Amino acid sequence: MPSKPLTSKPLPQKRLLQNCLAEIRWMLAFWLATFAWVIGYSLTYGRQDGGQEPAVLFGFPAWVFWGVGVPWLAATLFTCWFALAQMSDDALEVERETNDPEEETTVQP
Amino acid sequence: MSESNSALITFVIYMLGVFLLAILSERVARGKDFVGEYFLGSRGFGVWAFALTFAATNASGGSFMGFPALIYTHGWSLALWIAGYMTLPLISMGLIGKRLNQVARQTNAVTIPEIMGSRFASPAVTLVATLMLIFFMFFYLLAQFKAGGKILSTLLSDEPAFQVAAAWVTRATSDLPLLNQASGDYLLCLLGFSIVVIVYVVYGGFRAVVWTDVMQGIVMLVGVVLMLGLAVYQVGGLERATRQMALMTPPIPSDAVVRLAEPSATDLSLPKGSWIKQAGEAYRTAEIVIIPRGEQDSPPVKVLQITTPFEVEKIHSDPQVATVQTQLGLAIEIISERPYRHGHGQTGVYVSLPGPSETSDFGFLAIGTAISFFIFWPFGATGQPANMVRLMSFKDSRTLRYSVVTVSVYYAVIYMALVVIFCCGRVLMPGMEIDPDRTMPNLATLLTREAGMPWLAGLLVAAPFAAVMSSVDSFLLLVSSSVVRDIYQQYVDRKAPERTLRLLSYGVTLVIGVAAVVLVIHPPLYLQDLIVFASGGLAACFLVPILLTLYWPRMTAAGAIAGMLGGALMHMGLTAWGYWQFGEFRAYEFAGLNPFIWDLGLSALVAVCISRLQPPSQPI
Repeated sequence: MPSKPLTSKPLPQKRLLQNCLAEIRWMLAFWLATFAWVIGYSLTYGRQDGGQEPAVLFGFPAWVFWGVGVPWLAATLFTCWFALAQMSDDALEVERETNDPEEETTVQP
Repeated sequence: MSESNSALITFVIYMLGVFLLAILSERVARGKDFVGEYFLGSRGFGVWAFALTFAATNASGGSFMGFPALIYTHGWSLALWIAGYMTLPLISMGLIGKRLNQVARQTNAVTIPEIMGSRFASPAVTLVATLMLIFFMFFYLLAQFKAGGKILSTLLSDEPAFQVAAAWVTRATSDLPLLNQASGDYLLCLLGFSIVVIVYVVYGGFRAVVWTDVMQGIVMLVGVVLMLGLAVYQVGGLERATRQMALMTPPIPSDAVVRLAEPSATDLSLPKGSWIKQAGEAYRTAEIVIIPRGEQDSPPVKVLQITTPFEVEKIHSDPQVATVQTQLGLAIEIISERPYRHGHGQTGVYVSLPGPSETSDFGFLAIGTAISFFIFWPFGATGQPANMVRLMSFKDSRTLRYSVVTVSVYYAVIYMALVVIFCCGRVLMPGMEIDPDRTMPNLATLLTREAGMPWLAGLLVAAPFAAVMSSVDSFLLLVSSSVVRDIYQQYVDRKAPERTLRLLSYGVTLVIGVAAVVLVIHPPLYLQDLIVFASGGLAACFLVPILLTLYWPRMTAAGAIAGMLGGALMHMGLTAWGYWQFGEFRAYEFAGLNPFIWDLGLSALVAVCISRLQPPSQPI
């Protein structure tokens, strides 16, 4: 069954849209924060003068530990918290008002 | 299982598993709406299936062949290069996941062009999106098929049974046009790989692709975790590896003449990768060396000069190297050297930024490159149609939320582990710069042999093969779904019966797969660059238009078309500029930034401006 155009009426499920837009703000803020931390820290402390003994932390070069490892751990924890506690469980199914009986049979259960 | 054919036996077992999953998925699909089931698995995938198919599709063969090669060559700077993956799961799944899935259900769409066309009730939008998708995706498909053949031949190259079969294929095809242009090992692997992928995709459709992705995702995870333990243990701890890397200096690629003590009585050949040592120095041949009978010198050959003292010492103390050297009385005379343009003669370059580079004065990871990749990984993944299609297939919001968590943990483990493993590999295996793509299989063989478990090498080397296969199957189905759904059903027969659609889907998948295989028997030049071109082009073309289509009420059909064309044209324009500037098939990096950034900028600009100039198509 080919797809149906959505010209008859506005897309419903406003609540899902509003929730998605609110969540996007969180996600972009999260991305900006990790960008600032990772790029800022790594480019500031990742360069090393020749012959200098590197600082090593738990086996990682210190700049990798603080500039990539720790933010990666923090990002994973944030992602888990955000996905489990902040993202909403919106209904994805849509009840379409239609007079086309054939179409009604094709809408997913 | 013996060491000799372990990878081959693992490969055969793996293939049997793939076929079994295809058969099972076909049985599950019986009695369901064909198009929805074949191309989207009836939109009913739960957490594990959805999360692992998403993770495996993103982790293409590059993650297990190209990425290890880069870590080996440039050291710890790769940790920053890949760091954008920390935000990839949340951004690429969360940004559009729920909304895309909802609109796809509402419009009963199974492809991305279909969603965009339905949103604006515009066949023109569907057509442009379909053409763009097929154009870029077909390049991608070609490159992935070639990668599949290459990776498999690399992984199996040391297997005795495979060498016999490859030699037979070479002889058998020597008089056949087209086929005789490819080497026997590549041809054998390309055909084996392609037949398996095409058969299970044609037979099982999207469900088979997802189920095999799940298996492949598990193989990748198990392989990486095992390698991590073995690598860290055998190198003597990660701290020891890092401190040794800090003492390393980049090798010097050179041209040299290999000399015998006396003229050779027979034609003498030294395989690629042979070690030659003299007077406190160590060299590794980067190509096969042939010294004709009666001659003392070889023609000029490429060699790699090792410059790190403890590596030279290690090579000198290797009894195998000593035996070969004593028997042949080898010496070497350097003709010319091509030192690294960044990092030559410097210690510490493998543990600091920007990492050593053979080709760039600014080092491997210049500031603009680091910034670009942190943007490209998460947002480029969001714009990939193969990922978007997966976002149309999960069954409910809860599945999405738990899958974000799963993929986030999965990537954190896999990618940080890969960096650690191949930094250890840098210490364990000197001289791999002659063939960095073999870093993964060689390290797997070394680690398992040292651990007394050679049979394990087969499982470890299955990981990169699983990765490339999980990408190829997705792209194959994506292109065929666009042809069937967006062209045939839209323009040829809107009310085509299910039987016709079924036969057409099988036929198109088969034809596209076979066409791709025929084209890569003798692959065109710059094929690897085409991967970069195609993935960047897809993201440039689709990311902004799909975001605005889903979320911006003022977006219009003309704006969507302008956004797609703007991103695509900018991408092609920068690539053409790069070709004109450098004589190579690579995009020009304006202001040192990845072309993706500029593509997105133009795409957004024209999409918004054109939409603003028109009345809204409909409220959202």
